[in-house]
Amino acid sequence: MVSIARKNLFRDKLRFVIALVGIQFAVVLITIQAGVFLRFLVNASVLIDHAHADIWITARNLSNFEFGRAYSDKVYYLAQKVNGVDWAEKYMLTFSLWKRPSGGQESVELVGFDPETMNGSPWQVIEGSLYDVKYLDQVMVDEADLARLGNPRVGDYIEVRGKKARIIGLTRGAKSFTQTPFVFTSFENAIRMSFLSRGQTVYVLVKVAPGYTVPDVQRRLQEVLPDNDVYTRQQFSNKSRRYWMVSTGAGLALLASALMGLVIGTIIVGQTIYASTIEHIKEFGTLKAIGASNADIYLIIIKQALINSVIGFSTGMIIALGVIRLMRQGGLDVLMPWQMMIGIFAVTVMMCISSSFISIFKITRIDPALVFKS
Amino acid sequence: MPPLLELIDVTRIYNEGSSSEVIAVNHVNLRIDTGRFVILMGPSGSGKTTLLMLLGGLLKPTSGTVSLLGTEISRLSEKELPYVRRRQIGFIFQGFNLFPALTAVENVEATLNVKEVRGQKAEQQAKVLLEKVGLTARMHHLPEDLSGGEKQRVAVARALAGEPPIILADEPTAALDSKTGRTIIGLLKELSQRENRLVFMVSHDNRILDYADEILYMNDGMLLSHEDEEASDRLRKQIMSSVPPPVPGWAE
Repeated sequence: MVSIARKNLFRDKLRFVIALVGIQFAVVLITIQAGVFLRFLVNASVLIDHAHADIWITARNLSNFEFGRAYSDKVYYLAQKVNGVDWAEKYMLTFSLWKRPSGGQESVELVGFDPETMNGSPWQVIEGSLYDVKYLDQVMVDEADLARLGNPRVGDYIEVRGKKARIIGLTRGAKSFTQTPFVFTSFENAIRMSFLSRGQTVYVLVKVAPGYTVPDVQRRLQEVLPDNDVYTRQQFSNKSRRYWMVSTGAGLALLASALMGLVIGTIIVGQTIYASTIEHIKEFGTLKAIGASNADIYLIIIKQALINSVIGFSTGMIIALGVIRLMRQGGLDVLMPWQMMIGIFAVTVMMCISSSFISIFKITRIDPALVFKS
Repeated sequence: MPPLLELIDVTRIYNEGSSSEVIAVNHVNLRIDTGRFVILMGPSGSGKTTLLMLLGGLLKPTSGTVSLLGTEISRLSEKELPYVRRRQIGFIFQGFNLFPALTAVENVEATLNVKEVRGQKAEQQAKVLLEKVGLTARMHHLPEDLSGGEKQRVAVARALAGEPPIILADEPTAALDSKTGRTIIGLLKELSQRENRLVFMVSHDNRILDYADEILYMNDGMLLSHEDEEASDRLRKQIMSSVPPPVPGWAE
């Protein structure tokens, strides 16, 4: 079968390249914005999602996970006594100050967990043993934050809020939404290194005992603790994500950028396909005269759009992956799961096909006399 | 047996009802049988091309009927008409209308594809058709590398694709020099005789009249009747006076 679509497309090399650039621009922009959005979305609740708690008890009217407020640890003792609670633990997430070895300070988020149970601890340790954080003033940091923390090495001594501490290992993939470095340590160490006092906690994690339902235990805890908020893990995770993505507008800004890429890509591809259609309008008219149906001609235009989308997506994705690699080297991790790649491919195909609609509309109105004009 | 093509009281009006209304074809009656070589002549704007479009099912009459082998094609829907064009009609255009990105053989093959002949069968048939028009040596060239005559040969081969009983040609010699034009007309005449096809040609060119089995004259949208010899003769003289004198050797 002779492919008029393919031959016409590759014959207009300059126009083909312009269309490809348009698609590549859209693919790169959408991929990066969507990847950053996804990474931020995951980061917004990363510690909540990795902790093995069913319920989170927080201060009243907390906006999100990273802006936790301290409250009395009496809550922790009260929670333990509530029917249906298997265990409860104190958990800390609070801002502190890290003194760089070369001088200067950096804001960090101290994460204090129970080193016996490891609930809420980092989930991927690439160097050192997590159990060692139970010892006095031992901390772990994420490998991606090393540069920001002054490039310390494992074994180095540093200072957190004036307290000397030793880096005993490195984690991977533990990034906060605000990009403030996490510093993992035991709850006891965290109290010493933070601005909190003894007898305070920021969160209480609760595990529901077998035979009890999470909503039931949540309700009972809320009745016992009227001055706190009690969330299921999913509720708290969603609340934190919603805060960053919707309330602050950060997510919408990312989505708007991705949408802009889509719109610009659609315009460029649409304009190119339309110009190509106009240039070949007499050929389409001839096809009609020799017996091609409108559907046959639409198929040629759609086939051109599909060829554009496959080549544009493939080359655009290679560029996007290169940019993402550079971004990762610069410390900004971008998520790129295969499902997202498939989604972006689908968006690219839709973009190219929708771009050809104007051309299809034009074809339906071809004047048959056109073929008789020399 | 119904005639191959029949027009009964066909009228085609453009912009009907508006101030710019034009009656392009005015109450035309016509019957043509297979195996004929018919030339339609007339001055510019006389309605020749509109009549050709009506015959080819590219345009619907404002009133009257156009029938092809007894089937009233003027009543067919836009979805049914392409089928008729695929099966029954081959077109040859003044400007060749070849696909510039396709080679000569691909041009014919693409037409066969439209006519539902595919794969190797289409390729083989395309080669046979190009051989028939004497273009075997140039079949893998793009249109831009072919001369005007060669392009028109490809167009003839394309019109023959799918073996339609009717070939409709719109001034096929207008863009050609006299020698090439003569060759193309000779080729069409031969096809009409040997393969028993109807070749219906619109032309301004009085030098090809000797090839015709039948000559029709059109003026102001009206087809002059065969009986109206005086009017036909007057029109013929008018047309002949409007074209340049024949190039030496044309009449050979």
